[in-house]
Amino acid sequence: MTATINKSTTTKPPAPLSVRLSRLWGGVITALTLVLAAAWVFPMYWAVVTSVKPDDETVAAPPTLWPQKFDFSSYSYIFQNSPIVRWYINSVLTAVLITFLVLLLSILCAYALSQINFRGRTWLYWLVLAGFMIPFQASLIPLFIFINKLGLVNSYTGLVVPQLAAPIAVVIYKQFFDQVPHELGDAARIDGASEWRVLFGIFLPLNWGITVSLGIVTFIAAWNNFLWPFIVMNDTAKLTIPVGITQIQSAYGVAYAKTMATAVTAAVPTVVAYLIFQRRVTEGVMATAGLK
Amino acid sequence: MLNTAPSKTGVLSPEKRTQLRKRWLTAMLMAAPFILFYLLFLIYPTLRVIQLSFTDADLAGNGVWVGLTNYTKLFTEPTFWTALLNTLYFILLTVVPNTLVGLGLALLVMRLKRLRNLAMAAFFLPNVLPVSVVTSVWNWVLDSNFGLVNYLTGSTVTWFQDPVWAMPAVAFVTIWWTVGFNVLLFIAGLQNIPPELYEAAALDGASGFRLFRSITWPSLWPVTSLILLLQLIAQFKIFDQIYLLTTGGPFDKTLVLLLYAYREGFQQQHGGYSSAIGVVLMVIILVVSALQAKLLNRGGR
Amino acid sequence: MRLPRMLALGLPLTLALSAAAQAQTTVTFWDFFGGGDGIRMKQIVDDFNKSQKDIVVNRTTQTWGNPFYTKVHTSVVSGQTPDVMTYHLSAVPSGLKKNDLRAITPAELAMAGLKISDFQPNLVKTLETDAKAAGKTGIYAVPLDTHTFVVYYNKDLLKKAGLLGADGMMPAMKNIADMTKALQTIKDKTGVTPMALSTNQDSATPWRLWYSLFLQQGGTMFKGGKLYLGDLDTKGKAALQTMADWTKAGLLTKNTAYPAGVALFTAGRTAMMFNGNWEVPTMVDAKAKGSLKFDYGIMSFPALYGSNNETWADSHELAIPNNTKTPISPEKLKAVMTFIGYVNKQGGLGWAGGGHIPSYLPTQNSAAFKALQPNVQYSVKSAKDATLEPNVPIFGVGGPVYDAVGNNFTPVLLGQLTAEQGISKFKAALINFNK
Repeated sequence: MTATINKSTTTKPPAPLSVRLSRLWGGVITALTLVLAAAWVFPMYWAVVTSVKPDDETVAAPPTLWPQKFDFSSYSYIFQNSPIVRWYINSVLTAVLITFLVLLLSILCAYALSQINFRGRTWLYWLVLAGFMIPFQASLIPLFIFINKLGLVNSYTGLVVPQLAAPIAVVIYKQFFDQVPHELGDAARIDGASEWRVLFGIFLPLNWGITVSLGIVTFIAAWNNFLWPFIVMNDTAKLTIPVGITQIQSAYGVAYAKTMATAVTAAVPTVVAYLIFQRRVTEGVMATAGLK
Repeated sequence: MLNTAPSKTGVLSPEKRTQLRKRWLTAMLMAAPFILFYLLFLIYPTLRVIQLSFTDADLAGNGVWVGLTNYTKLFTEPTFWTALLNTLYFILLTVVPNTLVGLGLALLVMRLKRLRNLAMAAFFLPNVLPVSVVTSVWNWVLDSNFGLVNYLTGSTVTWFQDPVWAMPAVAFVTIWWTVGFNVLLFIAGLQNIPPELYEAAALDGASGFRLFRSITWPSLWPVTSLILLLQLIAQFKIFDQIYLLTTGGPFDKTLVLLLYAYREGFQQQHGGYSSAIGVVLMVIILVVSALQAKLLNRGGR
Repeated sequence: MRLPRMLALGLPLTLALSAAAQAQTTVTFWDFFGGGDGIRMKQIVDDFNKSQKDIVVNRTTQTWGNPFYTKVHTSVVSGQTPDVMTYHLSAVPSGLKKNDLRAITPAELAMAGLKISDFQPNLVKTLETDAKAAGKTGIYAVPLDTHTFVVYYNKDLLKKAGLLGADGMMPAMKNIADMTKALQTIKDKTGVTPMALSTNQDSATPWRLWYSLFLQQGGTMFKGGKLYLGDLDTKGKAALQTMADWTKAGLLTKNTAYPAGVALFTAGRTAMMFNGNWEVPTMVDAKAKGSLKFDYGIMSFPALYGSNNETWADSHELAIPNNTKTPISPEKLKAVMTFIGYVNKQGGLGWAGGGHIPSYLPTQNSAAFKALQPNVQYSVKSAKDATLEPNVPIFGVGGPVYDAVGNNFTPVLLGQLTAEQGISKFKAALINFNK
């Protein structure tokens, strides 16, 4: 099937029968792709549909593809009986803060590494690159002990700071800054501009695209982060959405509609962010994978 | 860029030296905030985990030196080997399949014209969901009694609790969740193949599978190897889905390294022993990463 | 001008509000009640907050079991504890070993207008024994309830199977053969799986059933203050074999997770359910909402080996975390004790609505509790049969015994190990944990 990819670009004039065959074949492939795409999103559809059914309809046989009766009580239940609103606020605040700080710290550090010729620069860049390979998950215990010694367990600071230590954005920015023509910066410097002015007046505006892309990807990653918030937060009220909703799921009784209502509520921000900024997300993903 | 890195500071004029010092200061001011967080919260814990692995520390970090005890215990403990083998099994079930599914879907999506973005969004959308949303949705779809899959197939398998099916089921969910990432990378790779290559090959009479084998596959290889290695590193660190879907069960059939480290460290308060598991995990990932760096360098040239 | 007048009016009001806020003591309360009994606890906390102005209790619910006790321990290590929390009596030995619990003195109990003799004696005695075993003295928790294993049944289906007595209730089975026969009759006559028992991602439920069957044969795992494994190969194996036989014959649900087990029963797809009394509110609420399409009954767990009625039980406690980094202030302690007093006294009956048997004797002996439906169907007998878990740190909610059950008993129920293999591996695991 893969061979048909570039049939349209082949220059050989095909015979009429093969044209019809290949059109048919193309149609089949298109249909197959669309069916697969629909199957891929179906579980999400199913979650949404389940969340608006009454409890007894969720477990009825045969299952109903479209609710016979719409029942939004699961949503009102979770909003009234869980701190989900609080978790939302926690997630928004921490994810925004992490995104802002990651971008700011990375931009500054990458600019120094890329544009300023100072003693120890190569050495510092190697140090940053080395961290590229280090999995923070392997040192959860010392990280927890350290955060605890600082008195930051169960605090938003303790939740945020370890997420600022990943060097990936520094490396990406350095690559982008490296590609900016030297003349631009040098001209400004000759005019007496400080390095800060050069960075924020020239380099940052020139790399606005990657900043937006990285910002969105960082935001989604921070929003979705599970392991560290799960470990560092004790208080249910201080949890972020992805960790918090696992607390509702442990509820007893028939709770499928409530569980799905929770899942849908938790998924809304990142899904909306993706649907609006699809192209930016794609760009950001490419950058983080090392493909520009 | 400002040039002339000072090699012989001694012959420099005073103004030049002040200028150099000022430049150095600016660079440090810019680099320091990130470097500070980086050293404190990534490098320091990484060194400390090695030290802790030789102690019997608890969660507060108090403990005494016990030499190699944790490691001898680790390597003679069957549960550790179970966790290591399970991790490798999970990697087997995800890394190559996830890459192949990603490639297949990318080739399909590339054929579309008007609907291409829509299809791409469909495959990528699960990727932006929080892991706990993914697991609760699939827990519901694959529920043994009321789930849609078992209703449609008449199966009674409890996917996430069945000793045989639990790991494949988690692997399947992982592929559903993350394959969109691979699809994006493959599409980028496919778009980078110059159309002239195909045209030239087509003129030589190549078509069908031969086109794919002689042009597409070799041209994609740098992307493919990148994806394989990114997956490999990510899947060694598998924790979230397993914790949420199976908590390592049934009877440790899905216990993986990081979950084992979590269990020992946070649930049983064996911080030292847990650190030893962490060190093993880190060594494995460093070796794989070094391999990646080598391959990427080759691909870059 | 308007502005100064508004300021003049507003300022004293703001001051008054902030003064009131300062006088209030905020108490952070952690529990692990996610379901029907969680709704009852929420009600009690809301009522408490409304009943007075000095104390505000902020209740948060954590995931039941191991995750709860892991969070408690990390909170104690970090000095970021709640002020008061729920605890399982079965987890107290392990909690004392980890130093997670703070002693509660008689003088402190008196702040709440309570004395230890107000509580069910066997629970108090267990608390004292636990403390002694850990090299401590005194009481480290206040008992709230006893909860145990019961049998829920669907009257409509049992009627169809001809198993309902003339009084509309199900007569208790007298032995294992009797139980097997009843289950088989249900299967033959109604076609549904007779009994819901959750075994997936849930070691607690199989453990409760197995432990009850083990106890009723006179088995014990605690002798002379120590872990005792001598009864496992005989009585323990027999209990496990019975469970395996029932599962193999299709009399128990196989591979069912906890929520699915409840859903199967409430949807009328099983005729009975082995579960804890904490599912009582699920039944009561479903009936009230009209979503339960059948009449249900509850009976205490029957004696299946002669006259020994012993049944697995545990007890919820209210406890104060041992925060050594920032010890609880006298003011907060007083607020916590006031709350504990309220939960036991005013809240006692509401808590019984969660299916539980109150530990506070004045509530337990009250006419209102004795008339409470559907608790009357089981609570008098269940209270007598209730037998706690062995007082060894490896037992209890969140303890390693749950892993041992999940790893070694569940495969027996699935037919992957024989009962003999399951028990011998279980024994080895217990010895390993207890090292």
